[in-house]
This record gives sequence, C-alpha cells and structure tokens, in this order.
Amino acid sequence: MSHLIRRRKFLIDLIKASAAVGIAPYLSNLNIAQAQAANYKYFIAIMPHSLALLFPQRPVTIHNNFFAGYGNWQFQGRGSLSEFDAIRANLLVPRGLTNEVSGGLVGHFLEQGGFLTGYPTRGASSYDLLLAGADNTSGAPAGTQSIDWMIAQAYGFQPLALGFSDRGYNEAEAPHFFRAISWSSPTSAQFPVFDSKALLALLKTRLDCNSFFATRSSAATRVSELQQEIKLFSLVEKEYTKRLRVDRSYSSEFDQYIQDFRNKSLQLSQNVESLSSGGSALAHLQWVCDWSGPAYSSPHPPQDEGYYLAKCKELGTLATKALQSRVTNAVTLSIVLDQNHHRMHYISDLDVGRDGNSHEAIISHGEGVKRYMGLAAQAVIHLVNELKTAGLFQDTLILFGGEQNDGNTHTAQESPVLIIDGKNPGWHGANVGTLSSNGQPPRAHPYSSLLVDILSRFGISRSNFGSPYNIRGVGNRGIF
Amino acid sequence: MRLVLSLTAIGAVLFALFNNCSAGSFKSAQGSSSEDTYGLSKIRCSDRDERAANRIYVLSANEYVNIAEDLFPAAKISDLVSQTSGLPVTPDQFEGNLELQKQSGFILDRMGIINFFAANLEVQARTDCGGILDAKCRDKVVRTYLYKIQRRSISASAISTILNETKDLTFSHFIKFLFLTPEFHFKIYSNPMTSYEFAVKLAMTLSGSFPDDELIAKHSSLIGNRDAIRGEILRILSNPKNLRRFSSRFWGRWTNVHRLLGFSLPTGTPFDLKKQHDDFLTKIEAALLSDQRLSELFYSANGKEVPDSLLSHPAFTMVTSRVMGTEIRSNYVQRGVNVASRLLCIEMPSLPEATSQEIAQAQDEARNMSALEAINFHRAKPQCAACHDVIDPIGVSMERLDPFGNYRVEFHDGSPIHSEGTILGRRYGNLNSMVRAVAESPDLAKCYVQNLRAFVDGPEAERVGACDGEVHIEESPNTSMLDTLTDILASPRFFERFSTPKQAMWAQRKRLVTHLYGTGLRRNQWADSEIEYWLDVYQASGYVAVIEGIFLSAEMSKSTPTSEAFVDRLYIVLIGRAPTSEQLQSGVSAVNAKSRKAYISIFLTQSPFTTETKAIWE
Repeated sequence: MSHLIRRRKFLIDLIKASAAVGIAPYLSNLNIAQAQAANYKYFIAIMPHSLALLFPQRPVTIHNNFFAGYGNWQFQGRGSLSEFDAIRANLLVPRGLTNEVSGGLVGHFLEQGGFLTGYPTRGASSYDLLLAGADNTSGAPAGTQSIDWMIAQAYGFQPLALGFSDRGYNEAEAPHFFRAISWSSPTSAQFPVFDSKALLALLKTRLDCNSFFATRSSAATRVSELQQEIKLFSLVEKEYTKRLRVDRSYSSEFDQYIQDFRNKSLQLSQNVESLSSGGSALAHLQWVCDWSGPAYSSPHPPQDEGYYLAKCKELGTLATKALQSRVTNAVTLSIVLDQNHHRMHYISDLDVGRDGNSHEAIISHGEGVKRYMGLAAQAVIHLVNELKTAGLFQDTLILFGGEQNDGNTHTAQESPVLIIDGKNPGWHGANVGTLSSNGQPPRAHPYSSLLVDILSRFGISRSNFGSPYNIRGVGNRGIF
Repeated sequence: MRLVLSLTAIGAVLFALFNNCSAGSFKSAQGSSSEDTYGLSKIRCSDRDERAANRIYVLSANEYVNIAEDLFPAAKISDLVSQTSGLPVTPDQFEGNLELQKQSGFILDRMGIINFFAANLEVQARTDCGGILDAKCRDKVVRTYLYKIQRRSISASAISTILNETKDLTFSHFIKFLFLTPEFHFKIYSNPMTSYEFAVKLAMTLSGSFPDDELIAKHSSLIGNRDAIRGEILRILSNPKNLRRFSSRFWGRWTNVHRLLGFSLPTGTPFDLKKQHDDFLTKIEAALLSDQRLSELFYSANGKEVPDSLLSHPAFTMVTSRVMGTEIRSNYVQRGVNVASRLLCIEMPSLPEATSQEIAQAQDEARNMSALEAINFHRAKPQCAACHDVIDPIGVSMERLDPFGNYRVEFHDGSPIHSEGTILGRRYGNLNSMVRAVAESPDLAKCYVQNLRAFVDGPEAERVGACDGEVHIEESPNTSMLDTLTDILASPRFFERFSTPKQAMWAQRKRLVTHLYGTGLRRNQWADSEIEYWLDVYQASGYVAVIEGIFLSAEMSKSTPTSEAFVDRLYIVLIGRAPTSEQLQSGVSAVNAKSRKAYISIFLTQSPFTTETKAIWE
C-alpha cells in the first residue's frame, strides 16, 4: 500500500476515533443509574487469580461432572456467588465479557497484566487498547496502561498495589504494577516484592507523619523544620533541572523526579499552613500515622487457609486506611492463593487439588474452588465493612474477578467478574449485559469495554482512548 | 581470533595506541584488510549525534554500601543495608546496571539512605571541625568529601556555587543536600569519557566505590595505557576488601553462588553457608591474583574422580540443590541448567504454555518413579528432550556429588547414577572427564568474556553496533583471567560508546516524528505504532510526506482551528520559534488564498526552513 493510501486510512481512522466518543457504553444500566461524570472517588480492584469459573448458561462440554457441583458464576443453586450474599445489595454481575480474541486464542490475563488493562499478556490480540501513555504491558501495544494507574494519575496520585506475589509479577509483564507506591521500595531481602510492614513505614514517611504528630505537641518546631525542608527541596529541584539540561535523553525521567520534589515541597507547604492554623487539616493522616501496622510481612501465598484469610483481611484494612489518609484513590488487591491455578483446582484426571481433596471431590463438588471462593468472599466482605466504617463505601467502586472461566483450558469466553457498587444498594446481584433470548450465552463483548466504562465513572472520558479500529489497519475491530 | 577495529576519529587514535601495546592477549586490527573483510570501510563512523548522549545508571544497593564503608569506616553499616534492601534491581543482570527509571518517588524513596549518609557525614564533620559547624566547616566538608560523594572532579567555582546556594540551610540540611544531588545517586559518564571519569569507572567496576586518591592522581595517564591499567587493577584488587567486592559482585552472580546466602537449611544441617560461600570466592580470588587460567580454576587434576574445581566445590553443589521440608536433595536439572545456561551460555529453548502444561503433567506421572526411571522417562518424551539433551549429560553426571559435595554413586533412592556420555562434542567416562570437558571448552571461555563484559559495561555491551571501535578479547580457556579482565578494561568500549550511522539516523528520525506529535499535535502521549507508521512513510517518501501528513490531519485541524494558529504552529514546530508579524501575515494570506497544503509546500521550499532547519530533516 502506498504511503498516500496509508496516510488517508490513518486520517480516516483518526476521524472515526473521535466519532467513537458517542457510542453507547457497555454498562448502560450503570450509566442510567449514575448520570453525572466522576461519580466515584475510590477504585479498588481485587484479583483472586484464576477462579476457574464457569459459563453461567452455556451447555457444558468439558468437565461435565464438575459443573454439576459448586462453582457457577451465579447466586442460584450452588452458584459460587452465593458466598457474597452479605453484600448482594450492592453487587452487579457483568455478563458476556470476553477476553477471547481472534482465532480462539487463550485468555490469560496474568494478574495486573490483563485484568486492569484488558490486554491478554499471553496470546496475540488485535486490541489497540487504552493507548494512553508510556507504560506498557508485555505483548500489549505500547502505551497500554492499567485503569488503577489511570484513575490514580488523573487525580495526582500513584496507585497502591497490594497482594501475594507468586503469580505473574514480573516487570516485563506488568511494569505499571511495579510503579505503584507499594512495589519497588518497601521491600526487604526476605520479601523482595513488597513487605507490608515496610510499606506502612513508607506511607508514614510519604504522608509526613512527623507533621501530624507535631499537631499534638511541638507545632512551632516542626514548622521551622518544614520551612528548611522546603528550601532544601527547592534547591534539589534546581540541581535536577541543571542535570536535565545536560542529559536531555532522560528528560521524562528527570521531569518525573523534578515533579516529585515540587509535589513534596507543596505538601510540606500545606503542612506548614495546617500547623500554623491549628493542625486540623492534617487530621486525616491519623488513620495511617496512628496505626501500629499489619501483623504479617509476607507477600507470599500462605499454605494455611486461616493465615491466608487473616492476611487478606489485613490487606483490606491497609487499603482502607490508605484511602482514608488520602495517600491514593486507587488500590489493587491481588489475593492469589496459589501461583498455579492448575494445582488449585484441577488440571487432569490425575490431579489432586492443593487443598488435599480427592480428584472426585474436586470434580463432583468443586470443593477446591468452593473453599477458595468462600475465603475470597470473606475477605471482600471484610473490606466492604471496613470501607463502610470509614465512611468511604458510598464513594467506592470495586471490581472483583479472575481472568479465566476455565483454568484448565485458559479460556475466558465469559470473564468471571463482578462489581460492587458502593453508591447503589439496589443492584441485588443483577445481571448486566446483553443476554441472548434463547438462554444461550450473551453475545461476546470485549472485557476492556467494561474497563473503559469504569474509567468514565471516574471522570475519564472515553475520548481519551484508542481508535475503535486498529490504527495501522491490520487486525480486527477494536473495543467499541 | 579475528579482530575488528573500526576507525572513528577517536578510534584512529586508539588504534595507534593499542598497536603500541607490548603485552596482553588481545590483538588489534591489522589495518584496512580486516575492515574490508567486514565491509566496514563503507561505513562512516563519524556521526556522533547519537553517541553524544550520556547513559545514566543508578547506584546499586551494594554500591551505596561500599561507598558508605569507604566514607565512614566507623559507621554501623547494617543500618544502611536494611535501607537498601528494597531498591529496584535489574533481574538476571549484574547489579549496578539499572538505568534511570521514570517512576514516581524514585529519588524520594531513597530518603532512608540519604538520611543515613547525612547523619554519618555530620558526625564526621563535627570531628573534623572541632564541633564548630560554621561556614568554614561547610567549606571544609565540600572540599574534603564532595569529590568522593559525587565521584567527579569539583572545580573551585563549583564549590563556591554550592556554598553560596546552600548558605540559608541549616548545617544538617546542607549536608542532606549533598546526598540528594543527582551526581550522588547516578553514575554519569560522558561519551567518550574524560580521563577522570575513566578512573571513576575503573574504581566502580573493581571496588564498587569511588576511586581512591592514588587512582585519581594517575587518572590522566591511564586511557590507552594497558600496562598502567593492569598495574592499577592489581593495586586495587590487592586490597582484600576490594577483591571480595569484585569477586562477589561478578563471580558470585555469574556462578549463582550468591544465592547461597539466602538459603535456609533445616535446623542442625552441618553446613556453614557463609563459610562455604566465602571459601568459594577465596578460591577464585587466589586464582585471579596468581594469574591463573580460567580452565585451571574449573579443572585441576588431582588423581581422583572428583577433580579440584569450582563445580565440585560444596558451595556450588549446595546452590544447585533444593531444600524439601527437612531434607536437602540435589537436583540434576538445576545443576545442568546452571552449568549449561549460566556458565556455558547455551540458550535453552523457550517453552510455550502448552509444553509447560505437558511437562507439569509428565512430572506428575513421574512422581512415583525412581530417580533413574524419571530421568529416562523425561528423556523419552519428545517435548522434554529439547532441553534434557543439554541438561542431562551435565546434570546427571554431577549427581555423583551430593548437596554437600561428597562423592556418591547412587541417588537418594538407591538407583545408580550413570556418569558417562557426550558433552560439547567430547566423550566423557566419569565425573572427572565431564568437568574437564567443561573447563577446557571454548564455550566456557566465551561465556566468561560475555558475562564479564556485561558486568563491566552493563547494557551498553548490548547496544554497540558494527561501528564499534572494538578489539576482540581473546576467548580461550588458556588465557589468564587477569589478562582478560585487563583487556576488557583497556578496550575502547570501556570508555566510549559507539553506534552506527544508521542507528543514529533512525534515532534522529524518531525524535523528529515524536517532535511532530508532541510540539505539533500537542500530544502528551502516543502509540509506538503511530511513530512506526510515520517512520515507514519517512523511509518510503521522505520528510515532506511526514510533515504534510501530520499537518494536514484532522487532529491538527482541530488543534489549529484558525489560519493564524496553523502558521504559528508551523513555525514553532519546524523553525523552533514563533513567526514574526510579517511572516505570520504573509503565511495567513497564503493559507487563506490557496490552502494549508499549498502553504506547506511553499514553506518547505523557502527560507527560513531551507536555510535553518531543512538539513536536520534530510
């Protein structure tokens, strides 16, 4: 194709991209319920890797016996969602979302790599998705970002990423995750991914808890210290600016560091003002500054179920306190129980689940997934209760789910996700999405559409995202 | 060994210098015939545009610690170690090769480290200044310590500027400032390096810390002087502290033995991890300083089946074993992979997901087999054989050593350990001859050089191109390890980064296209695919097509709704400044009378574009 024709196509695509803004979103019900933009303040994503869940209505052709047991992604009967009954009022279930792309490729979201970007990190895809920045997910188009990152960045925050570490956390697959507050720095030699206790120490430093503590005793001394620190960071900013002028090839890195120093100075200036006027404006810092901290440091999936649940609950508490103290507005909780989902549920006729259940028990009764879902649901319910107690729940939207509906075959024709809408207690577990009339599964719809819809509920317009068509004119249609 | 030395302006000088070297195992290119062999005479290596930019790396955890040890001999270093343990690392690479990252909090998250250094320097300053922390003391601190902290030559005017700028800070904040500067946290070397920077990189490579005063005093006589460099290597490594830093940072990582320090053995296990780890490195250090050959370190005949070798050292046999509950078991796969992949640089095939699943299933099926049966079972499976054909000859033979390095003839379950086969094209009949085959293999020597280069030059080693003004380093197991190290540190690549004109051209075009997106379309972000598209256009049809394409896009129309805005943008993007009022008026008239497209054509064929910036685009 000559460059002229290609250019023409490029320009046409650009026009189509801008026209796409008006296309009806996937979760139309959610939009009807919430008419104005930026409805939610807080976003939490919860990722229990590989739920190995089921098609809700499709006739089953594999693992028939298994489907007779527990696990269907529904409330009725022995559906696994019944574990969420306690928060059903706020819960809606998107249907028909798929991560399966052209050619019947497997869906394997690999945690943050895909769950928060919609891009399958294994297997090719034609989605040009969320083309909004420099952060890339391996295999995804350059610029693919995760929605937790985007929601945080839109309001000047960095996301917080918490969870167990063994599945899919490498920088090549999910670099944005490694740029969360909780990833690179608050670690220890023993826990090289992140350490909950070290994380709390970092948050206390970031929030300038010294200023908060000074509200109770030595405000004047602290003000004097802060003024020195403001001068210091102003000088440091100049040093990095000088360096930036010399090393232009690192301009984006130096810009980031300079911005950090500015933000730090701004924060300290605000703290000076707050201390000078009595310190009440720093009261929100108490939730982190006064907290003695989590009991567990380990990010690794524990073998013991009781420990697992306690740790999950603790992460929920940490997330809530971080939101209360305004250190971020977006949190991801990765609560994978086992790095290998095959081991967790079933892989072959020879397999025995990690929970020690026999093959028969797993297949016939879904004992493995039942117990896992029960634990995950308890952790979510604990988080919701924490958010309610903190008065944040009504401004929170929670996305919960896994990347595969069948962990054995790595397929995700219907992604097992649900939304907990803190603002609306009227959902009662309703199905959302286009269901076909004959009881067959709903028409497949890209999972990423849901993510774009969620972003719109945080005031991030659909017009920010990629073309509805692949911009280079190859591959399938895009996400709209 | 065939040698290549291409000729840049700098390279030509180096060529002469290296040809004058009397000692050493490397050899220089022998004039133009070598260049012609590679067609290098057709390549002009004078384009310095891409080469001019600095590459900046971040201090690693160990480098912070080493610098602290050298600055503050009496400090409690364990406090710093706990602060540095969470620093980002480059997985599977040598430490210290992490480039700057755009990450929020990247510097501020190092405040714990900064506070450690600042507190210790303040203590030292109190001693140096007799407790009087006045302006004179600040001057003394800067003159005494800043060249070490920032690892650069500090001029009198630079000292004066720093003192003047920080005069309003308290003494504590003034000290903290010194450790917040980018020059403390970053390793910045210009291209080519100055002689001072050369000395700094030499010190950072060998001791992971700033150069001592003796090295600084000699800095101007080092570049190109192989004998002087060798002398400095020996002098620096004759300090046991530096020698251990070097051996642990390079050898510990290359052999993977550094992992031993993170092991947790069952209670009561009669194995001292630290002692064995240190003994392993001591063996290497002695060989290095006594000018031993690489092959001697990996194989020394002693009349027994278990030769004296790094491979038979208990540290190596333990690090290639696994703790399983209360039991420690050797692992032939781990051993085979460790030797084949790490020490011989044999690339293992990557496993698709489906194969991984099949292997997992095969492991399940082999669960109740004896060790020998399981090995044979895997070998018989075609999907396993691709890797096991490489792993097994080494790994199974090494099973003759238990996790503690003791000789045995049976696996833990009593099945026999067969130790014969073929490796690297050589037959071996027992563990001794297998180890010897590895030690004498050119693959080992090649892999050693490859890893040493990666350690010394970092990712730069990956970036050099055909224009690299490079001498080939002898890759022979019979070469002295010290000679190889000297060759690498004395080679041009150590102090100068090269790139091909073609690489420079593509980099330049990419900058121009992204400039059109950033300054032209006022975008903060764009997809790589967009840039790649326009680079294709650039290549096929030239820069005019690119400029027209972007300036005539709907996006540009939206961004510049009026003719004034359009003309103004054209000037800012293509000339680098706003138009004068006359230029603006003339441009608007042309756009309104004809079209935007017609005006672009006029613009691109007239001054100021043709006289000021056209050359950049061509």
